[in-house]
Amino acid sequence: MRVELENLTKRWGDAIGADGVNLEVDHGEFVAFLGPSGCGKTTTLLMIAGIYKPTAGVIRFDGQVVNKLAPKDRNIGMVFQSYALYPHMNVFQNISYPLKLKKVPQEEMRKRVERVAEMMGIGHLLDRKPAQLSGGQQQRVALGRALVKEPQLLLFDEPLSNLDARLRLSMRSEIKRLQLDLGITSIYVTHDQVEAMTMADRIAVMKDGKVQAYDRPEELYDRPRTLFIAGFIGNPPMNFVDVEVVQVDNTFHARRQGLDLPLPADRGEKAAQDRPVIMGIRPEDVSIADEGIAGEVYVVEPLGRDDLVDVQINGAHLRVLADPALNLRIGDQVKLKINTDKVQFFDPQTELSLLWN
Amino acid sequence: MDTTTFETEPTYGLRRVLGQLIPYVLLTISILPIVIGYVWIFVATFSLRTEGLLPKDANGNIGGWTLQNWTFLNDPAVWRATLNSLIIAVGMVVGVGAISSLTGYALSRMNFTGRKGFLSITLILHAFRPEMLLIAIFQVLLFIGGIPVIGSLFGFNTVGGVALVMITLDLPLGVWLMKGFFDNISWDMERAALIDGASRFRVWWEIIIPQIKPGLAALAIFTFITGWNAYLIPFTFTVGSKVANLPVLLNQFSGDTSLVSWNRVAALGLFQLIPIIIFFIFTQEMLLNIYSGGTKGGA
Amino acid sequence: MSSPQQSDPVTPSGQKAVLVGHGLALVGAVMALVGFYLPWLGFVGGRGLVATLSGARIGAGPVIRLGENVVVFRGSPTSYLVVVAAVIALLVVGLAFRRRRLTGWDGLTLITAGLLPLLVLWGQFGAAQREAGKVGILIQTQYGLVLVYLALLAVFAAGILHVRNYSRQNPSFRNTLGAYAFMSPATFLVLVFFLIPVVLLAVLSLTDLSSANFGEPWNFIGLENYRRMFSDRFFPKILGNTIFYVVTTLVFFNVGLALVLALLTAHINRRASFFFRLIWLLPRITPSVVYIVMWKRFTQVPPYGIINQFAGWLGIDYQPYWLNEAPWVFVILVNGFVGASFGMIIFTSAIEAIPKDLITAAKVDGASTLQVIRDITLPMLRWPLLFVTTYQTLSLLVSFEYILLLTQGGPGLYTTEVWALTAYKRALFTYFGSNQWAYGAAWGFVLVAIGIVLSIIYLRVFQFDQLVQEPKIDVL
Repeated sequence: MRVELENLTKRWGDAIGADGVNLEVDHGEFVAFLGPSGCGKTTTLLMIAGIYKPTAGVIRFDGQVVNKLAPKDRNIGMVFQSYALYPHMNVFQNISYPLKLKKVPQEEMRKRVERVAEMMGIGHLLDRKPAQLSGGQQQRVALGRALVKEPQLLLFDEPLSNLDARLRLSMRSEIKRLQLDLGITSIYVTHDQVEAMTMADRIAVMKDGKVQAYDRPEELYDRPRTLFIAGFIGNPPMNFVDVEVVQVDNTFHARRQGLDLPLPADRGEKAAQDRPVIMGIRPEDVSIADEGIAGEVYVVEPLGRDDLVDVQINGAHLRVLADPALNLRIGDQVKLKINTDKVQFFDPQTELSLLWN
Repeated sequence: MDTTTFETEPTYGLRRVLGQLIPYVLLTISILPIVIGYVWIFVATFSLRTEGLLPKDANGNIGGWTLQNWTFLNDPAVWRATLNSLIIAVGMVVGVGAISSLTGYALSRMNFTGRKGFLSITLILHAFRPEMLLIAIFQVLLFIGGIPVIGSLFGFNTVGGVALVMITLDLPLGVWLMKGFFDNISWDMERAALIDGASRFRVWWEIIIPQIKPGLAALAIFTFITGWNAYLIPFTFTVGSKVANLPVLLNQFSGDTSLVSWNRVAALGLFQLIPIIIFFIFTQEMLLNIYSGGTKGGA
Repeated sequence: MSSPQQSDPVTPSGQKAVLVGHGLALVGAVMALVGFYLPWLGFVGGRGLVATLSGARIGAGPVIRLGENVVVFRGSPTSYLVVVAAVIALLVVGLAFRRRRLTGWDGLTLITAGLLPLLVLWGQFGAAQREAGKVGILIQTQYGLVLVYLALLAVFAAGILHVRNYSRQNPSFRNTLGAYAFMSPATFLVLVFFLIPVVLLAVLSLTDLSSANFGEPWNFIGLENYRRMFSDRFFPKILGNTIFYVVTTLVFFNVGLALVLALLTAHINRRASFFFRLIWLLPRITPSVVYIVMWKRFTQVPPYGIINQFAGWLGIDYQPYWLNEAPWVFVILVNGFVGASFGMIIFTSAIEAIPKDLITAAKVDGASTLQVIRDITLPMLRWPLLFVTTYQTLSLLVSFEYILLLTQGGPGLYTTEVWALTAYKRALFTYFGSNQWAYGAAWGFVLVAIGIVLSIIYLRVFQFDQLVQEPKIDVL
């Protein structure tokens, strides 16, 4: 199913939930709504589900306006953060509830529930009550309940955030796999950018009720259009440094005290302004080298595979991923090499990218 | 308390023990009238006559234990009154439970025009005491009594009418309590049920009501006790023993001042107390909770 | 709420339904007016037997006049509801045409305007027929009445049509209808047994209705009942009694003892405190009649009375019938032993809600138990104290069940009679051969007015409305 949102807005008095959301989801696509809490992503999802009524704007499923359609008539399945299982029903009753409401005959109902339960690997738990299940099992039941009515659109509201880290990892790939196999159009709300990056075909980054960007994950990562996106996507997050970009002869340089970085011509040209700009550089694009920009180790955070090293350069801080074998200590003097093909520049006033707009 | 011993070390331990005992002593004294009242009921029920708290036989000696006070159990009027009491109490449990859980649900979880107004009316009625309205309700019941068919079920001098009035007077409390229970149910569960295809009524009945069973049980016990004990309203709106409930009947027994058989009255009183005591024993904690949560509101 | 592009254009079939609805409402309104005034216009139908509109007034039997072969059921104020319904129907249709738009609210108004008088008339006519049957007269239904019935049905049907039509187009109105369906049983009962009685009480207090003139036309007599009330010989006595009763019970028991009990139980072992609180709850859940029997037994003369038995054991010779000897003491004790548990429970939960750190800190600083109570517990109980005081003031002011059972206001004349009891007795006891409903209503309405004002003040003071959260689902 193809989903289109046009100028979708939700207000409660003065409070704004969603503010003019425009986007479309193609058939079979997996889209993530990504943003910090309170950014309007869940509000938007609930409007798509039909739980909230839009204050303004239009929702279309396959070209049909569904604004006035009740949730049950939208042919959707939804998975909630709290799982939202019915505690007084056992797993079988939970999964079969949508079918019971559709008056599906007993025999067929049993078959469909068993098929879904098998698919979710919870076939042996059908007699249990939700309280007797682990978090992961509960989430599988919730997923099963959403899938059993064979919906054309699956909605996920932070389904993994109540699970522990390991389970989250395995459920993540499982959901992705399931979605690919079944080919159901899916919208996935999360505040975890790793989840969004790994699972989604496209990500809508939201802030203050507005969609900041809507694009493929690698695009968002390599070509962030706003400061917010650059900072929000990527882990560990991007470093930001105030610099001035000046042209010396034919080359461009990003400069601040203790730092003078020659830039590639294409980036430098766009970044050259008559005022200071914000330069962004991801930790993995900075390395410790034999020569380069001089700095002093301020903090070292071991991450296991790498050390995240905070290097101070005349008041500016750059976080760098370094080889633990270097065995850096606080106060060590180091030299940094920056991959200037990956640097980003932003206008400090508008917070828009100087490179990609 | 002796303030001079307050500072002195050696008596400190004794003073402390005394200080801890004092609340127990005071509290025990405070409950004496209640306990004595109940003791008398039990003693009187099973004795020929009582002098003070002591059971006496015909010769004035202590003793005279008997079951003859319970002969009222042969009196059909008592059983009719019991039936009436039961109808009122059960009617209230069902009526208040069903109606206030419907209304509480709508007020707690539905978005509709006029919600604020309905809520304020509920709140005002919750604080309001309806006793003085009995005078006007009397006229309303007379009016209902004039309507064909309905009048003979719910009019003046019918058990149905009494039950209906009592249900209504308990509704503000019931609705407020129920609304509080519904407020605490997860929204996601309800959303899930809506998406699964349930109507709002089915969500209420199949999904939400099972979650508030403990609350409903508490309300049921509370209203049963209210209905079973009801005196003023049945007394005001009924005439004659056909429609009298137990308290009204008991008051008729003890009303004729000269020839009261107090021991029979006590026995009938104990008979009436039996369900209350059973509830009291099995649901103490719940009872304390309703009486605090129920009328407390948010204060 | 709904922007212009959201409200769909009315479909042709919908348009037709709207027109039919308007037509019905109009015809209904006209018919109702004609039917209502027909008798006055001289078109009295039937042969000799005439029933003008629905004679029975609320509660009273119908007025039957036998004269010149004619039975007349006098119209009551409630039958004017028919005229009101007709006017409302005309207004709704007229306004809808002016606005060029019809909402479901118009439909709901029409439904109410049609249904309410219909129900009232049905009840009144039924009563009239029964009364007539008793006197052996057969009422022949009068043309005007048939017309009115049909008219009201038409208005009702018009309302249904409009509501159905509108709710199809407008989902949020459909939500509202659904919610109203959930609330309709409660709304109906509250209307019949709460709101109507409040209005009725006010109206009643301005009339001369009593069981003595029951069945005759009653009259509005203005504020006569109130004048009579204030000039009653016993008015100062009753007022004094009421104030004495409320203040004393409140101070010594419902707040005073309640606070003491809460503080005492807070300072002893948990299980023991639970036990004591439960015992204190017993009077509240004991049937009032049984409870009063116990108390009466306390006060009896020797050899039956329990107090006198204890007195005898202590060697005290003065052994009177205590209820007559000191009626107020027992009135207050009886009410206080029930009333104290309410405050006790509220105060206990408030004390339990005080952070333990605060008390520990005070004790570390060297405060004694009494100092902790004075400096920490009591100040924290300010709001619960205010709440219990106000709430119980109203309770004591209007409740009279225990006094009615214990002394009936006696012994003697008005010794323990309080305002609420007076109202009740005047209206619903046979006094001087009649129930003085209207006079009792005047006494009662004063308390009801106080009650309403006090309830509204609580809401403001305690801000109950802040407990109300917004629903997080928009759809039905």
